[in-house]
Amino acid sequence: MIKIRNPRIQYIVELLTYNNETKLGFLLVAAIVAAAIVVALTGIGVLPYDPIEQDVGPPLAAPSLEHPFGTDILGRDVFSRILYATPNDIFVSFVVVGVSFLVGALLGATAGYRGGLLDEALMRYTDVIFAIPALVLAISIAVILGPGMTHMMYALLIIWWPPYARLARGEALRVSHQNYIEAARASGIGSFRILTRHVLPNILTPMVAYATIDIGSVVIIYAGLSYLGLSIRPPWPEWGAMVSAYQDYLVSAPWLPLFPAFVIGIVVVAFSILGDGLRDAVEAARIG
Amino acid sequence: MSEGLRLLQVENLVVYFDVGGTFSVPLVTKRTTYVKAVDGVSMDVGVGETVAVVGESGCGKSTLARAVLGLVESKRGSIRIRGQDRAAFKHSKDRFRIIQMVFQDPDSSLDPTMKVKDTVSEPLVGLSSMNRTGREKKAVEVLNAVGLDDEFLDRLPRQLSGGQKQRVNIARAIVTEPSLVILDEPTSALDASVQAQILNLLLDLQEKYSLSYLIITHNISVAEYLSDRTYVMYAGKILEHGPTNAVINEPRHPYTIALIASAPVPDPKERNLLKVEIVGEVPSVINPPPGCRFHPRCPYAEQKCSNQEPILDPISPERFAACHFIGKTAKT
Amino acid sequence: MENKSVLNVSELSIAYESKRGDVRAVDNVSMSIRPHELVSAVGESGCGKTTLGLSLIGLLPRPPAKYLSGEINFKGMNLLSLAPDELRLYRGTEIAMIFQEPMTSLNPVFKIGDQIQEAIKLRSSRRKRSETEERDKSPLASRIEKSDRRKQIIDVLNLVRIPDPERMADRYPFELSGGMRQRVMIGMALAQKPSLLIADEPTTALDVTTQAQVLKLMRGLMEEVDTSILLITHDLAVASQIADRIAVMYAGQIVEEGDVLDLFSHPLHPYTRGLLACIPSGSKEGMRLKPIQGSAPDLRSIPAGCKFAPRCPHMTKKCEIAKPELIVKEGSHRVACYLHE
Repeated sequence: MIKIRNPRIQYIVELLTYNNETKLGFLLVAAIVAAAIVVALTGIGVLPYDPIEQDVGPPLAAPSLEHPFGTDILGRDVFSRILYATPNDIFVSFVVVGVSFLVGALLGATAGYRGGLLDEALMRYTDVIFAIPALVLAISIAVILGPGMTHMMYALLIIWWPPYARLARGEALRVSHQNYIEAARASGIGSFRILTRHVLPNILTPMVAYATIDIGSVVIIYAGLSYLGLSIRPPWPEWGAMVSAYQDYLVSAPWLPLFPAFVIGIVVVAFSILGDGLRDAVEAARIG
Repeated sequence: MSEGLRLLQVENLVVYFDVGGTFSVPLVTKRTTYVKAVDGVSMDVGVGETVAVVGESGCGKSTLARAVLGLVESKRGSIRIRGQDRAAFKHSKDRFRIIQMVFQDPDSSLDPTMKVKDTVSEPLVGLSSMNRTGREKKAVEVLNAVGLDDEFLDRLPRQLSGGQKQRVNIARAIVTEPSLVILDEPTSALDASVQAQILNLLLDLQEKYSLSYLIITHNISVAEYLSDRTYVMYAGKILEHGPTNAVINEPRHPYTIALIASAPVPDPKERNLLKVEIVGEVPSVINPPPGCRFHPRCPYAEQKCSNQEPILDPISPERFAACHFIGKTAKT
Repeated sequence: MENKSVLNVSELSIAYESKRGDVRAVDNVSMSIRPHELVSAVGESGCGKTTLGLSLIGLLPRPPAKYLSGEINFKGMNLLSLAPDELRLYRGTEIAMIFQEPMTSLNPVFKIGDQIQEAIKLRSSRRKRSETEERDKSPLASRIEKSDRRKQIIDVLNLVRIPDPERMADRYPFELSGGMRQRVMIGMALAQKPSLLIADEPTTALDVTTQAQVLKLMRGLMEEVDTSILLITHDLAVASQIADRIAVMYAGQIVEEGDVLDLFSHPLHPYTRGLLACIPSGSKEGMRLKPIQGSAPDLRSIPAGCKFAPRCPHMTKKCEIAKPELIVKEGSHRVACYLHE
């Protein structure tokens, strides 16, 4: 049992080592994020081959020791391309989830704690957004803004925050009825400080568990959007775009569409495992 | 008795809660329903005194406590502190400094994300102008006074036992050196042996810091042990009050009699519980019974009781009871 | 003597597996309950009384619980030797249990009457499986059955003295108060005339006056329904009011057990005496309460000697070396303490 001085860090460690799911999930996610950071910082240098350089190997070559994921029709190394594209999906999903989390937490917590007009307004507005299929909305916005990774991000940001706001609101409602909030009021603490010091920290943990799984969801949606061609940045690689570009080779050179699809799947699964385990850990911490 | 002597004087306090629903619902139904939580309560606490308000769930005692503290607005009535009306306190901060509260349920009274020393010094943040060092020093002082030494300063609530959490609760309540401490069910969630420790601690602190206590509880033996005077509350009203010894050992109001008789006494030879004849349930506070609120369950009730609400009459110099037929309940 | 008792627990030990080590929740407990007897297991939180109660009715989740040793003999049958299917025949029919929170024990979306009926149906179908009986399937018979069942429901509500049973049967749980709901639970539990009713803190969440009504009801029903009751509580005062015998538990063990009058007039174990001294009675001017020093022990570590020794005002060297056995002093009064050997 690891014992750490700081009780808050101790709590985080306990959550992460709660069960096999969290441990495995954490390892996988850590590896993926580390890979993304390394590639983002060092660029092409750390990769075995230049991802856009053509003819580094024979075209459509099957996986081998030199080219673990094979080569595509232009002779580019698929493995390097996939690795190079890692920061894109990771970056987009972290930003979308991060911003949605923040916006949602602030709006939802205030609405839940204060109630009244703000609460009603938030609830009705999010109702409207929920009523529209998310993907359709994202695609529409993306089409209006034009292709590109940042435009994708904006489109997703607009539709991604409502679930966080609802989640935060629900948790804030629960927290608002706890005696320690009343005790804070009786201590002369104003509403703003109660929100920031007491409500927000106490709604975080369940939201973090949800956010972790959600990162996987953004990866899928973003990969889907880039599959549809909305994020084209040729010749730079994008996972979803690679699947779309290579899907015709499913029979003749299956490694081409399958490896990017597989990688997308692994990333989503990794975050889902971690998030799922965290959800159980948070529940257990709440009861115990 | 001059008013200035009474630390706390509550007169005809009325607290209603609107339970008609959220924003949009009343707009549509055009109806409002009120919970008449506190419906005309008068009581007082003297300097150095311990007063208990005893009652079952839904009687309004917790709401009364919150109104006195200032967390809840009253519809009518007055709350005077040392003769001065509450409204005269320009800032609620002054009032909160003089009256503080130990909240019910140690588990939900402490912010799970805050360290003990921060929780205890929070009242000083909001109610005093001390700087950080001053606050921390004061926090350490009160924590020691409640029996927790320095190793507890940096702990989170999840690292504390029930009794320790309650001590932190108490420390927070006395850190601003209030004159009156309201205790809301101070020991209900605790084991017997821990309860005894906390009760003794409360007595020690009272001496040390010259505190007055207002104890809200459903536990008759705790009220008897700690308090000098007792008020019995039912469905938003005070039905009887007087010196604790008299009220608990010679109850006069039919409800008090039933309440005292129902409290389990640790004596197998005196199985009072099995002899209790109390019927019915605690009434709704949205639509309380007309006249005397206890009349549907009262063995002495007559026609008059459902028409006319009895007022608190003195039955001896310091004892008051609200019953039309109080003569019937005297033990011969 | 053993044949006459309804329940005979013998040297039962149960532990919970946890990441930080096994927790010995029940440690070598032996006790018995006779017909028409109300025995109360009294102790503070963590003493093992709830685990004991759950184990008797077979509701302990295992894992994380594991039975280390001992037997639970119900009317001569060792329940621990039964397969889960066989044990299920006993649950609800011969042995019933009610819990602390009446708010959550009843299904909020079904009427009271329907839930009582479901309980009766389930149990009688289980009973019938163990006795082979042919059921008449004619339409007349099923109509008679229906009015029979309605009558059975009303009977149950009357049993637990619920006023206006005809109307109550069609109400939903949220329309009933806590005390009413607890009575319904008791009714459902007693409807099939179990030989043993286990009540785990049945009145802790109720008001004082409601508690008195429910306790009085339980005591009174024992004769009417021909059952015994095991009352699990932390409140010695409550136990003293309705129990015939009391077993005081500490850290998973029974430290003292005896007739309620004996135990209160001559408490033997220092823990029992400490508990009694903790109950506030009279005013502070009278006598200050004498709380028990220290705090409850960590159940993960099993010390060599008496578990109460660290907190005991009469502790001697002997107490730290070996655990005192539960021995008989005068009649049925048993105590585990070297003071009394």
